[in-house]
Amino acid sequence: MTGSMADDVCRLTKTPAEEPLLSVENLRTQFFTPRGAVTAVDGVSFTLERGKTLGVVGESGSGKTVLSRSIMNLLPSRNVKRTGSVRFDDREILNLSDSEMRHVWGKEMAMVFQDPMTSLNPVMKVGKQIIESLRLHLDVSKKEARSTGVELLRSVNIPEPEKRFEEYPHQLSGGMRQRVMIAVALACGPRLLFADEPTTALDVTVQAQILNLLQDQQIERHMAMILVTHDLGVVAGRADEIAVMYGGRLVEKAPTATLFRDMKHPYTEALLQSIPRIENPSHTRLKVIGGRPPDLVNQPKGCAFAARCPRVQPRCLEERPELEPSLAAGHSFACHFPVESAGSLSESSN
Amino acid sequence: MAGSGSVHLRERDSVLRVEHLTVEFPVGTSGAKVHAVSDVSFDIMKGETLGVVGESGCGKSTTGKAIMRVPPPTKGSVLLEGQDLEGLSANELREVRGRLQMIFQDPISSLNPRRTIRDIVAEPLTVQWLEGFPRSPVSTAWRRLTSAMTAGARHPIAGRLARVGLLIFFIGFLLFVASTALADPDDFGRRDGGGGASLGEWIMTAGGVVLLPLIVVGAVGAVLWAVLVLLMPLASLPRTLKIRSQQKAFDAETETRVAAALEEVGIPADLSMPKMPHEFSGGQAQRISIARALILEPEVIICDEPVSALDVSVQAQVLNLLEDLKAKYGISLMFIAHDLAVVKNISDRVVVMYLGKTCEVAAPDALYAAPRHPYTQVLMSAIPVPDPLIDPRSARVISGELPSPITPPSGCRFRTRCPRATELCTRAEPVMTLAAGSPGESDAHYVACHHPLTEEDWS
Repeated sequence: MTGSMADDVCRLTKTPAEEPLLSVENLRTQFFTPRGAVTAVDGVSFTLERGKTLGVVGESGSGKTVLSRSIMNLLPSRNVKRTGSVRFDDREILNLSDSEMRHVWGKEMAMVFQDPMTSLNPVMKVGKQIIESLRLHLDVSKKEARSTGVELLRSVNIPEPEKRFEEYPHQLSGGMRQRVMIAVALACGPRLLFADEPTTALDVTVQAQILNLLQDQQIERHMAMILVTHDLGVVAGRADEIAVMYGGRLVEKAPTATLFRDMKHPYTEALLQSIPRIENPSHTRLKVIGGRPPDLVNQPKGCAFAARCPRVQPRCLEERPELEPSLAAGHSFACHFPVESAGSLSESSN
Repeated sequence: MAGSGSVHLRERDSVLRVEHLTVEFPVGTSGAKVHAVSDVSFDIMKGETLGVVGESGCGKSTTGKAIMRVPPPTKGSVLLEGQDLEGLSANELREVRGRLQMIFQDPISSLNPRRTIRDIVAEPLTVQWLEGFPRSPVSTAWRRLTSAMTAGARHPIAGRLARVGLLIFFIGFLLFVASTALADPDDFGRRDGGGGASLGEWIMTAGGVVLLPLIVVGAVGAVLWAVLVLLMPLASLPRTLKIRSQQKAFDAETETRVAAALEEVGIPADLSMPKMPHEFSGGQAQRISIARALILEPEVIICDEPVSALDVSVQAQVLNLLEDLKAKYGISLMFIAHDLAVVKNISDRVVVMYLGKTCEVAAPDALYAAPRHPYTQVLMSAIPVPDPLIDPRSARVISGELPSPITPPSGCRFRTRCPRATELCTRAEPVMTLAAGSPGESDAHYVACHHPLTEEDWS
């Protein structure tokens, strides 16, 4: 639904559709630790069109957060090495310095973090945190910034925005704080928004509100979004395309409908099956992925998922599968022995 | 939702029975209160899992903690196998807590970061073991004295006495100073306040008399305390020696029990016991928490959002583990969570809570098939469905924020956000009743709502 609406907006604004907003090629991020080099992101490539949503799904430790931080250059400066290419709006941004990135952060791309309590400044009024970037990037007076800030709070559905503007983060509930985080991120009208597990710390009811809000704002502002989550349920109805990460690599990437109709990678299938479904009777045994995510210092020679895969064959331990396109348009996966069932959805709801 | 009432309590013997539980916290000095939990009742049978579901701020965690008496409830009773936990001494309560254990939401921060896994899991055993050695009379006396002195200092009479005494003393002092200052100096420059000053002195003495009991009690207490502290090391020596002599045998037994508990939850014991909590992932840390709760072989485990901080894949592992342990040991669980899909998966009976009240009580399958309370339906439709064909925007998303628990809405507490609210809901608080068309007995479905959902709402 988002896709089609975003398409309409796309046509109206006559953006050159052939040139993607963000194109990441062979991005690799390594952290140098006493134990050795941790390859948290390993050769990730994807493109993102204007106004579209990419869902990045994976367990903790799969590198999904490091991926979004690598693109935004929000990693520590020491003992980190990034290689590859990140083109934003046809401009290489991987090698920009912090002072150059400052023109990109907030204005071109912004991020909504997972924990709204620790990512807002506890001793600064929320209003000030919102207008901080407005005053920095856009040449506006204090008064104008204030009225824009109040408008922003109103647009993220915060009741009594004038009153909330003068409050501190601890006076707000978790859902409200996350709304403020979104207002901060949206302040300068970024063209790309990273939402890094924006609802993991929240209740299901608030989660639905926040996800709807993000989607509304995205359509209104014709903004591209990268939605990072561990729950396939969160991205199912909201992302145009889904990329599944495991061990720092993309293991499957497809348009949302294709992925759910015809998932090929056993890991994607396992992620989907581990979600408890409300329509299943009580005490339905959940399917689990045994074992642990791979050690990113000593990556196995073969497929990273081989140790936990129910379909593992000798070849998987020897030869690492590459991300290769399948028959369906836009669908690619990295697996030697893909799941062949066409109805992975119906199977999982048994 | 205001649901009060206790018709949904069952007649059979329950392991845990909570009746009319109320927890209130004072706000400031104005006498206002946070009504965290208001008149909540439920019971748990042996080997049963009771799911408690609701948004944050609905009082579900406070309920769990009030059962453990941290802090004790304001009103209401908690019965563990018929034994009322109200009025138990600290020692008796420590024994009871062995049968009533708790698992917390954040697995990493609920384990002490500076202790090894062996020590963390063994701690409940150690506490119970040390309880078996009677303390020396000196140290018992010291404990009693310390708690009596603290209680005395906090007693309202002591506070009032001190305030009145100091006030009288200060008035006298002012009178004395003022009349002295106003008097004319004599030849040597000295001033004599005369009658005013001597009256001031009298008043100061009166203030002193009021304060005297406090001063005497405080001074005697301090002297006693110092004497006891000096005697304590010597008096405790026999106990210390006794503990030392049995330490080896206890340590060996603990080692095997800790190892068994860790293996039970799927943590390799040999490798893990010397490690620290930060070396484990969230899912493993939660398993260690479960091992710690299991080691005293409890009858009831209160799980306070045990999977909310975990990934879906790890969440499934922990849920399966809890199911296995329940089947193997016949433990009863109270499972608190905000996700109805998770609660439905693990529970035998579900309680839906909103703003400190119960809304609906039913078996999970009946609850899903035929929710009666509008809030239950809201909770249900908010769950993200992993199916791109279902538009998440079609779900009934609840708007607005939770009302303040300091001044909860009159009548039904859910009425401010309820699409079906009428004038009746403002006036009268709905009481828990048997839902229309529900079978009685064990599968009974109870709801506290003036306008419950009917068949046409479910389709």
